[in-house]
Amino acid sequence: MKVSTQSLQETLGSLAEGGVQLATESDVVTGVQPYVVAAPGSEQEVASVLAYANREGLKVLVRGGGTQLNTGLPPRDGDILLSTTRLNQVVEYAPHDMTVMVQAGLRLVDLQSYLARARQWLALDPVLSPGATIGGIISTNVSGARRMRYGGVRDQIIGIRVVLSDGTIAKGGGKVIKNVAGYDLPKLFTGALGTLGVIVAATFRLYPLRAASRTVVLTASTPAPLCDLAVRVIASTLEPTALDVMSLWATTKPLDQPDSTPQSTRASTGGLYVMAVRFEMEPESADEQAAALVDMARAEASSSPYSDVQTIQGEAEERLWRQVAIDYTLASDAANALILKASVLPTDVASWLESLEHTAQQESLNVRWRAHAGHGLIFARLAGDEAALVTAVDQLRSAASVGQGSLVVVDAPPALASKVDVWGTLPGQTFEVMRRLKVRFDPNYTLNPGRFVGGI
Amino acid sequence: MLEPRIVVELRNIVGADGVIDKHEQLRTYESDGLTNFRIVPALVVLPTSTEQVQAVVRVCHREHIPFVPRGSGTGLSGGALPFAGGILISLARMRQILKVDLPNQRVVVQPGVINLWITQRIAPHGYYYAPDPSSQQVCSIGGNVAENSGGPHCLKYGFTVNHVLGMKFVMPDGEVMEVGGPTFDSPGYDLPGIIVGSEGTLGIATEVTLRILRKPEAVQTAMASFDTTDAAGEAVSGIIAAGIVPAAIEMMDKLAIEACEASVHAGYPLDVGAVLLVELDGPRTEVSQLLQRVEEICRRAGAIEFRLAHTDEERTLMWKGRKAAFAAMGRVSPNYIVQDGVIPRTALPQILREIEELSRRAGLRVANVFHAGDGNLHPLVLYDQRIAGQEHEAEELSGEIIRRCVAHGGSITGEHGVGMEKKQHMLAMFTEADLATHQLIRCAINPDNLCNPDKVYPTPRLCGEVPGPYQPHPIELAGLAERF
Repeated sequence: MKVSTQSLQETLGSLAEGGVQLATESDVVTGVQPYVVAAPGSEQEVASVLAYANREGLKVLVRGGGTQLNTGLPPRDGDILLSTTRLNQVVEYAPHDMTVMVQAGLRLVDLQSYLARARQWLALDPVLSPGATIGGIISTNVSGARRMRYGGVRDQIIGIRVVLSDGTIAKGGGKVIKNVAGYDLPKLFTGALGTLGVIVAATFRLYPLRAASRTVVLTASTPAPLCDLAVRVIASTLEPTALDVMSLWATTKPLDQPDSTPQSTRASTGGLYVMAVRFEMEPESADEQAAALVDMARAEASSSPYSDVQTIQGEAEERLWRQVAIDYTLASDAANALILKASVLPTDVASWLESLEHTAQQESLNVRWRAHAGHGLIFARLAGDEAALVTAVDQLRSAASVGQGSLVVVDAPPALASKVDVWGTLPGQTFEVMRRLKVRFDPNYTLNPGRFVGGI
Repeated sequence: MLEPRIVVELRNIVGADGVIDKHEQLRTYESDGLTNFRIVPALVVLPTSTEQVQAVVRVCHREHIPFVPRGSGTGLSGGALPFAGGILISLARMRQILKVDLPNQRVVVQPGVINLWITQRIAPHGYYYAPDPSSQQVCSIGGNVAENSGGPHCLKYGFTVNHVLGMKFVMPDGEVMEVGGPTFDSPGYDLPGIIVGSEGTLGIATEVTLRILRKPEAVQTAMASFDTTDAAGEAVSGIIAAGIVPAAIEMMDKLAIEACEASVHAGYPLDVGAVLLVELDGPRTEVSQLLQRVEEICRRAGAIEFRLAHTDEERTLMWKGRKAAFAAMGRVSPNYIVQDGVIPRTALPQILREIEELSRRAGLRVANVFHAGDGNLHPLVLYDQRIAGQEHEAEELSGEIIRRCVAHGGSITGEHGVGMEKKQHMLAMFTEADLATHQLIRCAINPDNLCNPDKVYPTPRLCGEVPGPYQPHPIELAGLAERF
């Protein structure tokens, strides 16, 4: 660094008043120790900090709640950690227009409880610890089980405010749901991992909370019949909001209470795999659709592969979904473990899971997984020998690519992340366009250098 | 005029019947659905494959000839207006549905495929393609992708961008790339997300992977009539406030109703101030329960009549009136300008009063048709071209309506696009810094600005070869790291 840490702290302190501290060990981003943490209190301050860093050739790492900092490759470098935590306000809420504009550092859980008072919600349910912020969720494009009904981040975001590395403050989209004026900046920044600019605020469309919820739970001794049922559900007129198939271990996180899964599921001896299908709508329809699914499962021949078929609601249902709501990120002390996200077609879920179980067995890896079978995103946690993990990622990626799917490692300790192929290789021309976008938006590679696909 | 050798080369690529160079034939392509801009292109080429599109674009790139892609030419903002002296690339001959994958709810189509063909093809199996612009019988998927087209059912199901998963895409320098794919979350930047809605300024999609949807168990359509648009607006607010998300909710005012009735006899009542079309879909029991609630809300807001479509024919007829609304204006006025402004839905009563006042002051009639659920207005400013100065007055009035939409926190365009027509209004919505930032995208993909130049942005940014100064980081100088 050309300047001393102290003078950097002083300079930044004048640019982001009251928000600058020396970085500590807890500010390490996947092995890279920044010198200073800057938490600007306004987008103007974000602009000042970035313009300064960009001019001085300093590199900036961006952090929201810090819940997904292991996503992506370890950064090549990082002098300043820019934290959005002080930008945590709801800017504008229009309940009757069902839109909300928020600052990037607002936590999703806080936004949801704010909106719940008007019986609305932002239709995103990623499985993250409560610290997760809106900016981080946009940047990592993380979504949850209900994506099959509501879509992902790109389908909810309608406007964005960003600060580019040269300090330019710009917006894209707007605050109305329907709007095609100008290039779609909100979508470009969704999943860009902070490599194009710092998100300071975003506007979303909202949905009303539904009147009732029912979840049908059933188990089987192998994943295949559950995936098969999932494909039949998708082809039917049933309208579940979530359709998950998972290894039973995914429902029993070590720290969880012993009564955390439905009694009969836990008691079951035959069912190693669980399917949970959620219906959220008017109560009568939810009952009818749940009953129709139960019929569908029982309509199998006398030797039905499904056991423990039951419909739950209320507290038991909430508990189940809290229970399965784990595993998008690793525990902070996890070593030699990683979380990967595979994306395959719904009809390929079963065969990919077979590859997963097979690979895990072959490489002696401990595995648990959760497949959002309705839309084909699968999260798996693998633990074991480092070399075996590296091999497994490659094998599972090629298994996913058979059906034109993809695989990325979304969480791995830094030492492991530098060994596994986190992003895979993109087709040359497609990657070239991404590189050109990066170079136009952040020519000096000031922001999150090296974290994104191909080292962008 | 293009040099003869170039015409020969293009003819060799697409065949003799794929090149149009006769002036009278070229005139067919002088405008799209927005007919007050007209430019005759130097040449029209009609490729039939990705390879042909690529070869044509390579010639344009090599020779520095501006080119404009065109689908069915139904766009309403001049997005497919030719560039003087340039080539128009029509995708009308690329009309194949390449793949239908029902279990995964995906189709792959060529850009010239007509929107409605997809639903027609998959409807027998219980599926449909959700985005349904009023022009869906003639508009192409390539055009829909360019414009991020909407339609009445976008309220619940989203716009074209929410249904496009991937593309084969010819870039302005003639390189071909795959973006996205049939599965969610392809690694890297969301290229489909920025290409959809870029109005043909970033290149040409030659294959598009779309999501299709399972038909819901039940669909119910109802028509409610009201004395005033205020009362109808109150009903819309009530429906949304009740936590109901209809599949569609459309409003027409008195003048629009009259025109539609004169044109297609959809059975709308003529002695009312506003008509609402409300469509609910989903599980049968829920739909009928919510429909009852919608009826109660409408009655409470003062509905004169609440009529349910009992058969598919009745439903189709109710929609036919609405979808024919623009064309029907010919019945009540020799000319009209259609606008596409958006407001936050709650500003509806206010903006309608403002439009009424503006209309009265200008002495021009304005018919209103709109997607009431999402606040997308289509005010139709009626005028007579033969009366000197009236066209100009209509343009002024129309522009003022757009400015009012922006003042209410809305947008200059909800689904028709900026194109040629609304470029000058971009500065009402965006700052210079915003626009310069947007154009970084164009500079990354279309740096020579040969592909559909002069559209969307009022002042094209000069891209330059090497963007920004580059300063090596000390650690790089020390040889500890390499820049990508």
